[in-house]
Amino acid sequence: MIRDARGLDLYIRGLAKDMSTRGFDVPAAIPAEADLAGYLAFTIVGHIPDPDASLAAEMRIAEIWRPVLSDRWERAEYAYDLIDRPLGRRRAYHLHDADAARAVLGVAAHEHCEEILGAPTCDHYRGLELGDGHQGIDLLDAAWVRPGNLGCAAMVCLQRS
Amino acid sequence: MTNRFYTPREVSDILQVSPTTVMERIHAGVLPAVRVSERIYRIPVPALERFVSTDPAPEFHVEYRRVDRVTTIGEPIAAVAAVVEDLVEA
Repeated sequence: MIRDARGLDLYIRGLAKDMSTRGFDVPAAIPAEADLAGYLAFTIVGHIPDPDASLAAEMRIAEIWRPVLSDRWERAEYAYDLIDRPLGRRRAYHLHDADAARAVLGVAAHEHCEEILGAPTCDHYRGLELGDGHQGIDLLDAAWVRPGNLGCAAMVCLQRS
Repeated sequence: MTNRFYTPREVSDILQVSPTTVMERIHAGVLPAVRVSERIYRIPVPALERFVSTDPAPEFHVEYRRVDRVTTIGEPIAAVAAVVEDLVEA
């Protein structure tokens, strides 16, 4: 996935709109960073209130894009997280620290799954690389919609806690 | 616990439209829904509330800021690697 500056800006705003139309409260201003090496990073945080709980669930869509050409970037890393505080659980799709991940886990993309928030039985589960942030939002929204067991036990653990 | 989703039929009852219309809206990407299996869709309650809301949709904008190095994301795997190297050496 390679985008120019305008395309990347549209993509980021599109992710925020995607989260918003699904009912997440997302601040209008999305913080992004641009560093000296030309890398771009952003994090979109959305909250969804629960009528039965004082705490809200949180969805975080974070990505780092590396420069590949003049005015072109490609997604290098991502971390898509759902912290479901009302139900005390977490689901996440990650790709970061690719070299270390391949060396340790055998794959770059990995997942997190916590039936009890903060008490994972496995540090890293096997995962497939997601095409873009919208796919991450869709998967996390699907996890949020269905209360109960996330199904962590059926996943392949790469690195046990 | 309050249900977090509606079925397409429940949404058709709420909106007073046919289930076919609801599915058309879902497939058109107008009504947000999640696909929980090949032929089963669920509509998150907050998504429907936003769908029927008359509040204007927010206008999002990206605020860029210069930094020396972008912030890392995710739990560091290098720390795990260090543990494995320790085990190998032991």
